[in-house]
Amino acid sequence: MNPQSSILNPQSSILIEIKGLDFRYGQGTFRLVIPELCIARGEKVAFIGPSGSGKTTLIHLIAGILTPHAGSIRAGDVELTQQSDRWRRNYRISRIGFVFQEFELLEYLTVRDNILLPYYLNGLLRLAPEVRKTAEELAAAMNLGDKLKRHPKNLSQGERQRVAICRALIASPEVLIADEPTGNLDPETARAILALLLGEVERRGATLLMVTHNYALLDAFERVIDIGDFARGSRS
Amino acid sequence: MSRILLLAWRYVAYHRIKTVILVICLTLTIVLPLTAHLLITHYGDALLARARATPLVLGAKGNRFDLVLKALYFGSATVDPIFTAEVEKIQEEKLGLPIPLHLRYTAGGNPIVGTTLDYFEFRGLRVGVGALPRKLGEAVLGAEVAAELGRGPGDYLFSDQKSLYDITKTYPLKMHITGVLTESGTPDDRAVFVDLKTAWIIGGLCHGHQDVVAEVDEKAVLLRTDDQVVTDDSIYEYNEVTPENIDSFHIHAEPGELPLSAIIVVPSDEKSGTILKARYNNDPEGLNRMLVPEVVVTELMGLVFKVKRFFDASFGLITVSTILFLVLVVLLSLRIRKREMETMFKIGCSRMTVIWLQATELVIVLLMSLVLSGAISVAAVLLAPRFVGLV
Repeated sequence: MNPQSSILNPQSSILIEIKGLDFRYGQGTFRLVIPELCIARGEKVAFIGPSGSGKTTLIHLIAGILTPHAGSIRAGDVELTQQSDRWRRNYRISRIGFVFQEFELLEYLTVRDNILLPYYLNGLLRLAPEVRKTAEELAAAMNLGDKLKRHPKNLSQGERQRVAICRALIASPEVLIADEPTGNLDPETARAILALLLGEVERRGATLLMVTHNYALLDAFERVIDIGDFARGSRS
Repeated sequence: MSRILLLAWRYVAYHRIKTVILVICLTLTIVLPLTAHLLITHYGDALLARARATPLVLGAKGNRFDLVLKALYFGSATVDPIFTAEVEKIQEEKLGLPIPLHLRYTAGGNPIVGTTLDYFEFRGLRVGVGALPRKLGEAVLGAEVAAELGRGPGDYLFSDQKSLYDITKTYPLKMHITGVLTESGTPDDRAVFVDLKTAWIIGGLCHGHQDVVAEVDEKAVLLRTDDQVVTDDSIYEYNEVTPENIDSFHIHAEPGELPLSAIIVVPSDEKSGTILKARYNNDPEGLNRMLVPEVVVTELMGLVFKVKRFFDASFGLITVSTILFLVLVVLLSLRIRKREMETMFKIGCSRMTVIWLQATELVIVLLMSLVLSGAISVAAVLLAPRFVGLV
């Protein structure tokens, strides 16, 4: 099954459906148990909760980076837990865009190459000339048009996060997963970055799943889920 | 694959200092044994080829390596003289063709080879421009000497002063260049060839001066008898052979007592060669010996290879330590780049691709080191004759 084309049923309003999920890290006491959770297409969801409660774990499970010990995670019509590693990698590269707290840009790549990174890393994405054009347009839309040849060390924190957002959006994902994307930014820049994210997600009709500790930003989301309600024990 | 190569290249190019340090470490590890191997192999073959092309060398007893290196490659070692009587003896007995060599002096730092016309025929040397020397005081240049000095037929060249502050030594001889030899890829390219008598003029054994009967002031005459005139040092000695003074040049030695450095002997046949070797080598009282250059050079190369084995072992240890250093660098790099690799994996890159990326970066560094090592080694092999001057 091609993860690029057929997993997500555009007719269905349910994008992610989790049932009876049970996840543990090795022999530790931490346990994430989610009886049922549905995320609709185009929904903007914020995950909150104390540190170590399993917010990042949950988005990694949704992205297919981790697999649960029990339960079901459906992405559209496809049961993620039954797919191969390769399938899940291809699913991530083609359907999910990631934004990280620490930006995680590659220092040795220019802004342009950082934006195009998903195309360098996985052969499923074809690096056509129009993709390069899209990268330039994205950068221009994020006020990075004149910084395409710069390296991340020559950018401000806000600029770096905007590059990371461009990288997350370059393959036109259906789901944008942001793991505390404003955690390293001052309040003003954080609001600007969130506005950018929400604007892009809205414009593309994508779904935003965002982990945050910043309660001041929660008004912008349609739904807020406290992962602390699902976590048991401690990861430490 | 091209995408991985691009990413790897970007990493290597961005971390220039780290890359340069790694390349230098690897290059040094590769270049020393590689250069040693290439030099020994290349020059071993070249040395042996010239040795095989030279049947016998007769010279004074002493260091056999010095004698062969002197006679074949015009090395700088000093050898005891052998005398022209040996040439005459071999000629008279028709046991072979003796080719005398006088190898004591230099011109512009290049060896002056005093010899006969037989040498050029024996070595297959051809004149590219001009002609071979026909008269006293004339010289023909090896191709490299001519190129280095920028001189040719019609120009002149001074022999080097042996001892600048010793006024008892003869003055440098101004030699007229008559021709330039074609390149042969042998030590002959880096030599200046003159007639034997010209070599003896440089050494002072043969000289020309004012006519002590007609031209010298009587105050300079210390003794005059019916058959002898002795003068003081004010007599004018010529340091250039010209048509006007050529008749005044004469030798102050008995014909068979003129010094040579060595004699190349081309025996008439195998039996003659055996007789010659036996005659010189089986005489414990004899002052000279007949050497087979191939045997001597093979023995010399054997010593070189023994030394090389020692160095190979050292290089082996250096290689092991460099590999360990490289492994350490890679492991530390992996640790530092763990988050980067984790990000790649989260985005959708396979772990295998990440490994390929790391491996490609290493391969790029290795290739750069190999190319640099190869270039340095080849340059060393090409430039070695200029510095070593053997082959």
